[in-house]
Amino acid sequence: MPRGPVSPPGFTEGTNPRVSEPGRLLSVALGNVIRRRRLARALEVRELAALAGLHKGTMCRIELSRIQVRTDDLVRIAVALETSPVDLIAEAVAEAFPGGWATVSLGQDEAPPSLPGDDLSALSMAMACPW
Amino acid sequence: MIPPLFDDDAPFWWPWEQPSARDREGYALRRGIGVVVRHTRQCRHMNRLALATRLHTSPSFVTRLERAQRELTVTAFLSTCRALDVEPAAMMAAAQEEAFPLGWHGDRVMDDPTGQLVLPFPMTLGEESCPVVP
Repeated sequence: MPRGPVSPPGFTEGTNPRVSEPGRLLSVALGNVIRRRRLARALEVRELAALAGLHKGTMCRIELSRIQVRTDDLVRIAVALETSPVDLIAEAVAEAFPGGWATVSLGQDEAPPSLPGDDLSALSMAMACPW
Repeated sequence: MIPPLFDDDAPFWWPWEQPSARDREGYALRRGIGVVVRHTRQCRHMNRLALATRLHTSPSFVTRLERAQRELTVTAFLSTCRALDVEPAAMMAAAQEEAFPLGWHGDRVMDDPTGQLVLPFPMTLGEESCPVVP
């Protein structure tokens, strides 16, 4: 009989079950990107944390993808690494999804239910929008 | 001191909650993301309820997201991009351009002694960027 709290089925230690798989992949890739940029600049974790105004534990957890990075912290890290959030996100997305962004589509279980007023033709027309 | 309810000449931040420059940049990017999300949602002809349904959250979350009243994680940002069918790098680039119209730190204007890159509000996207919206 195991002692202590029992993890629910499908739960892996060290992961957040509320985070989707693409989100987890992006967090891991973003941590790797930040670590590579930090090592390229010959900085230690505490030095980068001091430059970014974050705690060294927070920075370490970000690199290990133990916590989710906030956009505010992403800006601070980008400033400390003398890069931009766009570069960090673009590199992380390219690493996390090597097959391209088109492969990260909403699954059938995540497909939104049809709502009254939904016009698929208007939605397809809106796809012509650059955004 | 009781702040006035509405005053055009009032500063955006009250003096006792004046954030640092780093926080201002983070808030500016968050605000830019909100503007881009709102613009994209309207381009998709979606209301807040439809986007919230795709995000499996409440419409108030979308409202707070668009008004930059909610701290956004990278995972939530990715979920929003998936719901809006926009590439994350493209959305972040648009948000960064919206938040820092003079350029990012690498493009810092050399003759700007203060280095203030955050412009005052309101920040709006031009209508020409979305020709589908009537």
